Amino acid sequence: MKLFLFEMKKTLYTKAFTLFILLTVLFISGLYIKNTIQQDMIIVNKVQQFSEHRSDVFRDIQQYRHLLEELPDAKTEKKLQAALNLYGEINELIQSIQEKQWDNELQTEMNVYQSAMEYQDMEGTFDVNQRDMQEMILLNEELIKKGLPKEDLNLSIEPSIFMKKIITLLLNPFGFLVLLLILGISVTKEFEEKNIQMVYALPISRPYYILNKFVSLMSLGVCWLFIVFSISFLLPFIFTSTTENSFSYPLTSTEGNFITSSHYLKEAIIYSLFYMIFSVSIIIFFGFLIRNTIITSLILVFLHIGNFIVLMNGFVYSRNPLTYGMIDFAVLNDENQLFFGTSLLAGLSVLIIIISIVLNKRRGIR
Amino acid sequence: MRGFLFECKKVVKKKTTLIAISLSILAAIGLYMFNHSVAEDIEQGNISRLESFPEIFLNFANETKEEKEKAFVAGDTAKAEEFDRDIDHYQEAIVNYEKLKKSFEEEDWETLYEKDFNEMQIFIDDPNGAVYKIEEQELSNFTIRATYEEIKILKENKSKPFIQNTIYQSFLPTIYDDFTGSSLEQWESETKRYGREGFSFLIQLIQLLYIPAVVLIGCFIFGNNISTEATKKNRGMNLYKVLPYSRLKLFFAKYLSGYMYLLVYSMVMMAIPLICSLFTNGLGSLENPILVYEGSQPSLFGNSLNPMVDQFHFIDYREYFWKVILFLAVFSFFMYSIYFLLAIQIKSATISLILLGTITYLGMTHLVSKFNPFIYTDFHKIITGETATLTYNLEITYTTGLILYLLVGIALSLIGYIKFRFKRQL
Repeated sequence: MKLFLFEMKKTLYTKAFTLFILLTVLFISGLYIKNTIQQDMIIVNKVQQFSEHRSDVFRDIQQYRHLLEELPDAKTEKKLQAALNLYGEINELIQSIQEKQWDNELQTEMNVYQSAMEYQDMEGTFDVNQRDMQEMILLNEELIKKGLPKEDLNLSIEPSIFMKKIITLLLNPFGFLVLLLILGISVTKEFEEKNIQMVYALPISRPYYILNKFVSLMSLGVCWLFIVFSISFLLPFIFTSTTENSFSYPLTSTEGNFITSSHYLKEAIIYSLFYMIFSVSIIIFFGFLIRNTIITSLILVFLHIGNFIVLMNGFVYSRNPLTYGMIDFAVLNDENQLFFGTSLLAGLSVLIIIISIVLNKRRGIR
Repeated sequence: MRGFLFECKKVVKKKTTLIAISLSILAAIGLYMFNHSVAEDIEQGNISRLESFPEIFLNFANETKEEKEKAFVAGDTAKAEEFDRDIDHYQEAIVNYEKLKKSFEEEDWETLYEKDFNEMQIFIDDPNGAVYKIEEQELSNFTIRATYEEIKILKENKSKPFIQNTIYQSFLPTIYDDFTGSSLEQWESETKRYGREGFSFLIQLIQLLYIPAVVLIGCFIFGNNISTEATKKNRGMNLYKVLPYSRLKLFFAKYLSGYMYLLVYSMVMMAIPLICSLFTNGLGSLENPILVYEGSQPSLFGNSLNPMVDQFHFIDYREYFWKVILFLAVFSFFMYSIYFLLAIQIKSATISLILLGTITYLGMTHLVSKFNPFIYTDFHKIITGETATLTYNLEITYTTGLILYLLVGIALSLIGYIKFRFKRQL
């Protein structure tokens, strides 16, 4: 226990970790303040989006009227009626958005999309895909069923949605990479500054020392995760008036299924914890193997950037442990199974630690 | 000069530096191999897709033949004639798809350019009447015009194109398109470009911020020659203090040796994809075109992009690469001067790297001003005028970036020297 506390203290004394925690808190608070200030932008954006659609429909109406003046035709008459109907519904929707009547807004938006799909079938102009509109209707139905307003996933200050945004921004290969680089210093620095000679001269077995290092770094990593989750929850929870069942907000998975935001957060926390264990085992492995800050850091950088490039090119395999480093994607990807993912990460972590212990058991210090 | 040579020698003698360089080279080779295999897969995928079309149409033709015979037996000659026309149409489609497949297999780009060129002519001749849609969303006229001109240049130069995940039009993606939802996904998938030849791949990498990443890593490897000699356990700097050697000379020997290695390292990392391509698809042509935006004129209603009116032109790869190399020299000087300053102050190379990376990222994304040097980090967007067009600030130019990097770099180097000269305990 004493050794564990000593290792924790050593990392904290480097100041880099404390600074990183501070920057994380500042980042989350800054984003919360920015989103709070930009709440009106959500309404402005929505109004702008539907105003553009309204302009398109209005242009069509003018054209149909002009055509009917020249040559009356039943088909054009039908199109004009459909356009006028859609135009009226968009106006109603814009009014609901401006008056912040979210329940009316959801219903009217569904009506607009229904009419828009029919209008598109008549070759009318409405610049949204039918597939997207159908998805939007499904989401609105789900929201009405749960009695929840629609949230802007980027600007929302509802606790669960804000937490999701933070998870997307911080718990990704780049966020984990920065943390690992900071934590990794405490392993390699001991070899570079030759402090390890003193440590190895103490009556402590090497496996015990490596395990202590692993547990202390993991605790610091978990401490960072705790701060990320708690600050991103507490800020909106304290300062934003939330609806009762805001944690049952429906989120769409990659296959188009709905999962509740509470389910999303639960899985995100579990994946983050296991990925943290796996990441720390990687630092222990490379740190004790290479014993050099620059080389270890470079390997971590290339590993994470390479993984990011591979994922961005669509090569997503549930057997690749690094896939779980993009927590948001890991949770929303229907192909991933929580039990398999966490077992894989835990199993590999144990294996990596055993290998690290075996490799360093009798290795000397140059 | 001796001090400079001594510092240069020290860097080369370090095993860490050599391993770090080797690792970087291996990573660049890995990146090339990965991209090459993805590009090959996409090309094979396109050919496989084309293989299925003749089979589908042959099936249609056979089914229609049966229908025709039935109609013939029933004495419905009008229907039979209609089926005949359908069969002709299906057979024509089979021939066309066979030809297209052959062109893809033999990489007969001239035929493919000719086909694309002819198919796009209608959109150029009648920009208001003919529209190209991805699902229900329209493609901008600017993209159509730019793609048309690009094909024209590629055809004239007999150059090879980028590989794209489509068997139809290989559009050039521009900033003028505003797709959403599934259309955006489809558009991105079809217009994502993979360079197979060395020069094309290098351009693809430059667009993915390869150079800033290489410079950042280069600073991390070569920018610690003062900080590594001023740690608690290594007090190498104290030795210099007792020698009859001026601090100015010492500073510049250390500073310039690191910068020189950074520059060489960056150039080597740029050359790796080119060297790799010599073993696969070759270097490609330097005559290939790169789209340059000419910006948008402000209207009475404020700033907005006008796809019908806004102009563009193309520069060739040769001009583009010269600009990149010059920019690389001043950009690396600028980044190195910041890193060196941080390294004098912080000592930990990893922390300096994280700080520099964070500052660069925040500077790139959060402050749009021609005086913000980080806004010029994305070389490609600066050279092609994309940043200037998107921010409606035509003063964000390549030349401004060059001057700014040079001035800020010199200023930061001076601050670094002052810090080094007057700091009591390094």
